[in-house]
Amino acid sequence: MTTTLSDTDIARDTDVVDEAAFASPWVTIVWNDPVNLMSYVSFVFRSYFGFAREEAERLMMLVHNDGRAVVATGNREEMERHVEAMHGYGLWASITKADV
Amino acid sequence: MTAFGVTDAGDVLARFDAAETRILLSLSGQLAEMLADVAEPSAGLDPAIGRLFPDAYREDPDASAEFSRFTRTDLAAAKVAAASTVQRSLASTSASDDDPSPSSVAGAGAVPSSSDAEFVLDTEAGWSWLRHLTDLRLTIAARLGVVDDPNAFDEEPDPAQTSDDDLLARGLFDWLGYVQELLIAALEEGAAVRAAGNGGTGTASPPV
Repeated sequence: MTTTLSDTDIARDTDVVDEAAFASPWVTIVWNDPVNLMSYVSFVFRSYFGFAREEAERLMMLVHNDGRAVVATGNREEMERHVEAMHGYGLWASITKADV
Repeated sequence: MTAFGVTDAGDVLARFDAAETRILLSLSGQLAEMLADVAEPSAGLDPAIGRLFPDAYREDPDASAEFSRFTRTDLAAAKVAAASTVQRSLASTSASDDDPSPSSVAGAGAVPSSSDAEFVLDTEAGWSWLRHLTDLRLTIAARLGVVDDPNAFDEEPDPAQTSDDDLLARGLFDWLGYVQELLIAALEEGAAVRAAGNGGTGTASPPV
């Protein structure tokens, strides 16, 4: 499991290597937008992440009411895959380091 | 009128009248054209492109640019593929009478009016439709100057203070949202039908 991570980290700058040493996680954030339907956002969460209906609805309402929700946590590569997938669905997603 | 039904197999049966079909084909074609130019430097200035391919790292332009370099081509290709799926669906039963060539896609049967569109969507095609309807709505919204104002569409536009073009665009935006809402409900109903069929309980009563 660590093989892929270390291989990737070696190619990055030392700051990232230091960060990775503390296994600091990354998160995928979905942001509120005026276009996407609530039903669609919830449907995407269920279909893509496999969330149960209740969890998908909870996260969708977080996006709607708070303007954003963390929908996934993990390593950077994995979060980038999620963000790319969300962009494929037309959702407004970004990746950032998790708050420590 | 747009309508969606569900087949016994749990697929979605979609129907659009001639005018709706023409509008969808036109919008879809325009979006596909826009996506073809996505690699052009000028595309970076287009707010619609900016919204379809948002920054992956909000506080790190370099990381965003790198992400974009690695993903944009595939993402654009997927969006174009969804557009093609939608256009194929609409063309499958909308060939006009003066086109004698046999339909390239096996139709479910003759439709009453030569230019209405009626077709079956499985789950995968349904998702292509949902994605494409989303891309169309995001693009129209960007054309209306709306990207991130969460309340931008809360109220009806004031006809006295809105150009005809913007009123038309807003009408299309709302209609596409209506179509998407109906399609989501139909796909959910189809999934319930399939679940009932596979589960054998037969008790699942799909919502109307």
